[in-house]
Order: sequence, then C-alpha cells, then structure tokens
Amino acid sequence: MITTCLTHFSDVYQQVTKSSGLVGVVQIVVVLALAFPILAAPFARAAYHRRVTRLMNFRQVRPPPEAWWARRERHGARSVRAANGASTATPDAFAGTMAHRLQRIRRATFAAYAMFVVGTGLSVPLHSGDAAEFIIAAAALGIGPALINATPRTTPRWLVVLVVALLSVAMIFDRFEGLLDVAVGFGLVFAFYLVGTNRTLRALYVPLYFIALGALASVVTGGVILASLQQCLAPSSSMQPIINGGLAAALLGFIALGIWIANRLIAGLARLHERGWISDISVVFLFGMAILPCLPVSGPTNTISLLPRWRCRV
Amino acid sequence: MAKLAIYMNEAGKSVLHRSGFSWAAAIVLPIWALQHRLYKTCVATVVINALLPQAYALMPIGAQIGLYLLQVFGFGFGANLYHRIVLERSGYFMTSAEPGRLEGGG
Repeated sequence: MITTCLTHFSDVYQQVTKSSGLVGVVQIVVVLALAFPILAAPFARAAYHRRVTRLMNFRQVRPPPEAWWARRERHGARSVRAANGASTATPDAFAGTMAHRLQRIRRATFAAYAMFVVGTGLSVPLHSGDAAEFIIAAAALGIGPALINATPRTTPRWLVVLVVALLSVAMIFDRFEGLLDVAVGFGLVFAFYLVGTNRTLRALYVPLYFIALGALASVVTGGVILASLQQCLAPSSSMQPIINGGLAAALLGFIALGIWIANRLIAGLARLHERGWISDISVVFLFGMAILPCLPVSGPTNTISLLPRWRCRV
Repeated sequence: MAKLAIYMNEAGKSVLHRSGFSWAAAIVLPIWALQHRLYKTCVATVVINALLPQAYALMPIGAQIGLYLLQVFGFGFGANLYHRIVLERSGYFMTSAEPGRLEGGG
C-alpha cells in the first residue's frame, strides 16, 4: 500500500516537473508571487484606508480593562530609543543637528548607490551578459531608492521618464529571445520600481509578496501531495465522495498553513521595524536586491526564463 | 454591510468581531474558523465538509440544491453570530463598536 502510494506520488511529481523541472516550478512560483503584490498593492491600500476610516468612527461603550493598558505599555516599551537622540532644546541647535544628520544620510546614500552600480559592473564577468547593460540597468534602478532615502519627499515625475529611458537603453544591449520575455521582464521590473518608490505603496509590497508566496507554494505542494493521495485511495475505495471532500478540505488547510507561515514572517519583520532596525524603504529594496538575482539565470538555449537575462542578474 | 465591534476580556486580549453575513464562512467554513482561532470548530467543520458530499450523493438533485443553499446561508449568517456567542461565553465583552451596530442593537 505504502509503496503504491509512493509510486503515485512519484508519478504526480514527475508530471508537475516534467516541462521545466523543480527549479522551473520554483521560479514560476517566485515570479508569480512577485507580480501579485504589484497588482494587489493599490487594492490593499484602499482596503486599509476603508478599514482605518471605519475604526476611527468607533464609539466606546465600555472602558478597556486595566490589563489592556498594561499590555499596551509593555508593547510600547519594546521599541528601542535611538542612542544618538538630540539633547539640545534650542531651535537653532536642533536645526543644526538635523542638517548635519541629513548631510550624513545623503553622503551614505550616495556611497551606497555608487557601490551598487560599481559592484554590479564588477559582477559582470560572473555572467554572460554585456557590462554596459548591467551598469545602465543598475544605475537606472538605483536612482529612485537613493533619492527617496536622501531627500524625504515625493519622487519627481521626470525621474520615472529617466528610468524608463535608461532601462530601454539597457535593453538594446540585451540579447533577448522573444518579445514576450522582454514585455514580462520590463513590465515586472518597472512596475516593481513604481510600487517600490511610491510612498504609500512600498510598505505593502513585502507583506503581500510573502502572502502570495505562501499561498502559491502551499497550493503546489498540497496539490502534489493530495493528488497522489487521491490516486492512492480512490481506486480501492467506494467512499470516493468522502475522500474527495476530505482532500479538498486538506488543500484548504494547506493554503491556510502557507498563509499562516507568511503571516509569522510578516510579524517577524514588523518586530524588526518596531525596534528601528529596518524601515519600509530599506526592507523593500533589500528584498528586491535579494530576490532578483535568485530569479532564473538562463543560458542562450534555456527557454524557461520568464525575465530577460539582464534583469535577472541586477 | 457587516458592522464591526471590538471585544476584550479581563486579561486585556482584544478581538475584532463583525456581524452580518460572512462570505468566507459560507464558502470555506474551516478557513473562517481558523481565521477566528476557533480550532475545535475548525476540526468539526473539516469533518462536516468531508461528510457533506456523501450526504449530497444520497439525495435527489432538488434536495441537493436545497441543502446547498441552506448550507451557504446557514453558515454565512450563523457564523458571526456563533463567534459572538463563543466570545461572550469565554468572558469577552464589547468595548467599542461602529455607530450603526450600536443603533441596530447587533
């Protein structure tokens, strides 16, 4: 019985990974999960706005218990105060301190941006692409995050045009194999850029990505396991409707588990944010830098890549 | 539209409760139960969901449609009411709510 079931599992696994292999399935899940937050972020922001508006209209009918206030104070005490807090109270001294800090932030941001572009250029020998395409693409994609970090104001519109122009120039160097490849890659990268540099959307990107990744990964994993279980149990049983119902419920359980794991990860990030170790800016772009090199790195004959090669390696 | 309320217990834990029809409960009751941390209810609803197809198979088509509608509306309308009863039995009490809910007495 167990051997038969394992054979069924192996068959289903082979069918799922037949066309692109396990790595290909993982890549498709990662790319789809990357696309989901781009589409869902505006809707999530609207839903959040509606929810907060409703909560603001609440009327109190009974005061919260003492324990609630105590929990709230404990929760607030977890945040760590900055060690270099301003000690001066006069407006001029305070303005001077702030100007000095802003200057340091700008210098550090410029250094990070330069390192990013130069480092990308130096990494070119590790890949098969053209040095110019990597450097231009890195320069384009780094401008927005750098400007947001250096000057606390809305990204100017001309910058978007500049990024599109630079990305288009970078694509001239790319030896892409198909229009769809480029359209998907360019669209995904540029949409990620727009969401990531938008003041009110960027904080939603990473949580939504984790939720999409958790749900998709659990659908694929649960689908393979449950499809093999169905083949294993159904032929020898007259209780097929019950088995199918149970398997459908189990698949929902898998999805719930995936989303729950994603929520735990988001809660972990929220704790880091509370402690001041990460911000909505840094987490989105650290995440972007971390995830994009993990995307398909394809050779000239590899057709499973969903993104143009230049983007996969930035 | 569903109306929201905040319930708290003496230990300071708070829960957001919504009244009215729940699409999540109507379509996927186990997930709704998990979302509200009603774990025993979740297990019970998984068993019910597994047995329901067997019950459907024994019925004529008209009865199947009737049972399905009863299931959707019963779960959809009953779930949030059930959640409120569970909260109140567990020592939770309402501390604040949307104006519409207070006026409607929900």
